[in-house]
Amino acid sequence: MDIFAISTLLATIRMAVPISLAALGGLFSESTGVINIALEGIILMGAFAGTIITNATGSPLLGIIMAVVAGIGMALIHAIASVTFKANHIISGVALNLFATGVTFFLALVLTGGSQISVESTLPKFLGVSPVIYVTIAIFFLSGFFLYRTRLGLRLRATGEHMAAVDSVGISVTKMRYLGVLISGALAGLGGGYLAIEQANFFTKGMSAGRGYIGLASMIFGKWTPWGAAGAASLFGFSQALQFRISIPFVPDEFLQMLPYLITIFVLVGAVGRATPPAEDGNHFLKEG
Amino acid sequence: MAQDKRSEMDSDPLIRMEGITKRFPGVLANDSVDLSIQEGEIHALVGENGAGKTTLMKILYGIYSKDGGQIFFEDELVNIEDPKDANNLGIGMVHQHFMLVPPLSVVDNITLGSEIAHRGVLDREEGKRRIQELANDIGFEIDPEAKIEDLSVGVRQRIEILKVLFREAEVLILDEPTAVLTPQEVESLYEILNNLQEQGKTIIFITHKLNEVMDISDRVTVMRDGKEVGTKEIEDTSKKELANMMVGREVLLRVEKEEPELGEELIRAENLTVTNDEGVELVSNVSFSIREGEVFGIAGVQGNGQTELIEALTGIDKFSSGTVEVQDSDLTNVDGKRIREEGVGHIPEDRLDRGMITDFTVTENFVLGYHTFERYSNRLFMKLRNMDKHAEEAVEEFDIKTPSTKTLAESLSGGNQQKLIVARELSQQPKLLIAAQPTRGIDVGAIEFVHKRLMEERAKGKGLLLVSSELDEIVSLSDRIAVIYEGEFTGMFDADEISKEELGVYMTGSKRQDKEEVRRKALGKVTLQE
Amino acid sequence: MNSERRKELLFNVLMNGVAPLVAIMIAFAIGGIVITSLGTNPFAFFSRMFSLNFGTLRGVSQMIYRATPYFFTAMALSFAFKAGLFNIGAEGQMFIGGLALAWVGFTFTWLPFPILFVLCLIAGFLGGALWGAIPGYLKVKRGAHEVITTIMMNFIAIALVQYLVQNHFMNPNWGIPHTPTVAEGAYAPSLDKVIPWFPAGTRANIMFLVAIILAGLTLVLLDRTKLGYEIRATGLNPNSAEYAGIDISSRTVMTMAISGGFAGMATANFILGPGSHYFLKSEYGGIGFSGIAVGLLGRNNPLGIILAAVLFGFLENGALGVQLYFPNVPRQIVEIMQAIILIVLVIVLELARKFLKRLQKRG
Repeated sequence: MDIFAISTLLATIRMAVPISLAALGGLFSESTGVINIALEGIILMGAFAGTIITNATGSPLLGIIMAVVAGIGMALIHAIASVTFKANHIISGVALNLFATGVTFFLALVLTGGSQISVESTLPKFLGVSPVIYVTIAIFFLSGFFLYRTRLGLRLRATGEHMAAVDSVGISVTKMRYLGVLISGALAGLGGGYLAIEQANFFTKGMSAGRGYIGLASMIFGKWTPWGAAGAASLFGFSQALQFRISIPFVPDEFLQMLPYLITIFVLVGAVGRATPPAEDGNHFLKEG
Repeated sequence: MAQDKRSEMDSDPLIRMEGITKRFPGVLANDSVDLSIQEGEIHALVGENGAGKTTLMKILYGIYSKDGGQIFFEDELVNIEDPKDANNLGIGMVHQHFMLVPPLSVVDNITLGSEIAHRGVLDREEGKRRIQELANDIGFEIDPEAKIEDLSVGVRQRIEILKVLFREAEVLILDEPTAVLTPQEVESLYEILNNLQEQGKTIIFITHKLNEVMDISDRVTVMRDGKEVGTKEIEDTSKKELANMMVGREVLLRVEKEEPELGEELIRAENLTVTNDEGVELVSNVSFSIREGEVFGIAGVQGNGQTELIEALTGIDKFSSGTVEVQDSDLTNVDGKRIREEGVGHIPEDRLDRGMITDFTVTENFVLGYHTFERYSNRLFMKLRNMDKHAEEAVEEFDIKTPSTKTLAESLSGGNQQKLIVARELSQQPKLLIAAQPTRGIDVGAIEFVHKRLMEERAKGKGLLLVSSELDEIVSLSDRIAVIYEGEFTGMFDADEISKEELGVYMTGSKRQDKEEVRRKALGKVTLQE
Repeated sequence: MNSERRKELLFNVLMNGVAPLVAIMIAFAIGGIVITSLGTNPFAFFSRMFSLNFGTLRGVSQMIYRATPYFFTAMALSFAFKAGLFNIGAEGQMFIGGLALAWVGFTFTWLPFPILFVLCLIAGFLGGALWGAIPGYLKVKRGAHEVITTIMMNFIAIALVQYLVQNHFMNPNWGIPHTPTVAEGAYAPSLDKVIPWFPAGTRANIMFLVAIILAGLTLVLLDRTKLGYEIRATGLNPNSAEYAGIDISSRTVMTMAISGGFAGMATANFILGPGSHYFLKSEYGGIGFSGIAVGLLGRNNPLGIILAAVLFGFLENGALGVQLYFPNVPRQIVEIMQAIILIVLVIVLELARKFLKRLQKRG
């Protein structure tokens, strides 16, 4: 029983890592008021880039780094479209998700002839688990400090709440938004790299499988705070871990799959406590004059 | 105070704006404007809505880029491209719409952009200390840890002022600072401004209220239609003169008004109360009655419950108690469609965000609200031909300048948009017309046109409920005038028994009549025995 | 006066003509570069694609078949847009509607054509409408933003449909989870039955004509009916709509329902048209999301959407056929191109808007 409990706990953490990184990514982006539903595609890109680079260089560390870089690259496109060119944030995100689905599948076929690629080496385990798990925990502590205790964190959060106020004191709204979006890309990219290299040990088409959206759900359920997001991601990770471990009588797997999405809707309608998104979510900064 | 500054007035100005020009799509907001500001003065910038005051100041503060002209600071040509440049020159601005981040604390808001930090890590304690110090200097208390969203409007404004001072501004621009304040808050704002002047700060103060200009400023510059009309020493001028400069005509442009011919009672409203979601009464126990051929004016400073009263009367909002009867039909809390069917028209105060849909054509706007009427639609379809025909007739009759009725309303000028709304409401032949701020922000020609049409309706025996914050409008059009203050009718007068000055006293809440008497008079006949 | 009209014309040409074309051209250019890098001549590739689609009526027919479902999911986005709503839930609405129409088709098997066919379409519409109306209702009653709720509803729909098919409708002996086949009364006639000169034996069916008819009806609904007037008013300025006595809440829910209804009929092309005649979830994945691109490319206008859907059908059908000739270029190249069209389009639209604004400011 104990062994079972511990292994479930470990599975929960493993499942929660990519989700929580996506959630934190979403949080960074939305703290500047940019909605990022491209998280799904960013995870996929990160997973793909991580796999390819790991296999090409034999270094899973380089793979993880490239996953982060790929995530930043995707996020950069999102920032250019939705911040500089004031595209609707959702549309830009949808486009990037379509792009990631197409590009990763396409390149997998071109490079390997198949849609699934095994990862040839993984990072050495530390105390029995992937070091990325420790990195993720550290990132959460750092993010909490960064957002609430530093100058830049304050500026990021202010941007998501009142862009004109931020602009009126001479802070560049555009820079803040780019920063928020790029951090979000880096985090979700890391999540994708972890997913392919450390968790699944392979890349396959469409392997993000909704994790980006579950990340968004966690961010909302966690009321746009890092620790709330971590908690929600753990809960959803737990429900995913359960699906793989046992079948619960009378509760079909599909209902567990629905759980994060249902909870999000309940949160949004105020049935599970009220959550207020940043006031500038989805808005564009239209400088007057 | 003003006298102390006299000696400095002759020296070189601190700020000189020359030939400032700013164009917006379709509008020349600033037309070669000159302005000079002396060090240490309180300088009022006055003009009607849309005269270009705020635009000029936003250029000085670097929010707008100018299309022409030059700015000199201490006799040096400066290039102010964004607020940072202005801050570096020691210029700060308190915006009309506060630039505060509601969920953040006072200290975070004040320091934002000029944070006190060591290696990027915030030192909030030091920030709090300095804010307390600044607040003490100009004489008020503040809790630096409070969240902005929990604070009142008056306190938020002080925080805005602190925010500017925190950046060590020597010149403060205040954009309509009293528009949102209660009279008591206005008093304490005056005190703060006087304290600031004593400390040697220079203050530019945008307003359209002449009392404020006389109360507080040393000099005043008047703007009209994007142009600078003139600058006066305060002791060399009068309200009357300033008013003439502002509007460019004799203010007492009395509308031709015949003796009222009163008919039946049209509307009887009793004990109307509107409560907001938090349970605060925005309109309290208001009663009135209007008869055919009568104009009932409601005077009041904006934000005293007028909007809420009218929106509940016209079916947009709901009363929490009270009754409205229009000629024996109970119209309490019925929907807008029913109200229109009973012959009550409504010119809303917000032209663009209530009265019309700018992306609709002239024709489509012409039926807005009446689109369910039999002449414009059947169960399923709109009667497009009828709509067009009536719209074209109205364009003709009301002299609305538009290329065609198929043009989008957004390409019409403000005056023509307003005429379109007036045309729509009058074309439906209402028994009672509710007109809120019917001439706000439109040109003089359009104002006269609208006034004339409203008076014609009165002559035809229609009733009119007029809400306006323009005293001249209220006094010259109304037969009876109620003053609304903090949601209550606090005074009730015959139009010819009360002066504007006296109305002003009631509007600011400095005086009020007995509640029962107001109620009796508001519900009673036009001829009042005092 | 004249300049006003010229400006309007310029606006229309730029936003509705030039911008989509530029986006398409850039997507082809990037696609061409990628193809070149794989050692294939892009001109040969694209001209082969062109002749596969337009070289024969059969090709046209196949292209139409691929294009049809995009029309429906794109209309779901664009119709909601008219009321100022953002329906990202076409994917889920499509699944629920698809399962509903299949269920009617394999349950009321005794009904003849066209009764059963029409009932199936109605069921699809209602299924999608229900799934669309829920986010509309939640927005009106509880202020939940429809973007997030429709996204979440997509995944709930996917799981729900999977559960229902696997546990209630499926014969456990079948390898791939799908529903029983619909009765013959539900079959959508192939196009050659209605248009004599169309070649027989392709899967193109009258759902394409249904799409065209619906496009026309939608234009009439929006421009000529009272409901359309109110929906547009609500979308353009809810405050003024409220002033005009329009019940914004009911219009919002109704718009979301109609919008979802469009998506709900998207799979009729596959299930009722010539082919396997059962609901197979894996065959439709992504059509809802791609509909967003099609709707925007069609500039939210029903007729534009038909053109945009045909372009997507062109790419998809071409990609399937061209594989035989250029096996080294994976057909996912068109998915990349579709995504690029969408990204570039939103950027070009913003540039056009800026340009027009500057023009307006000048005079």
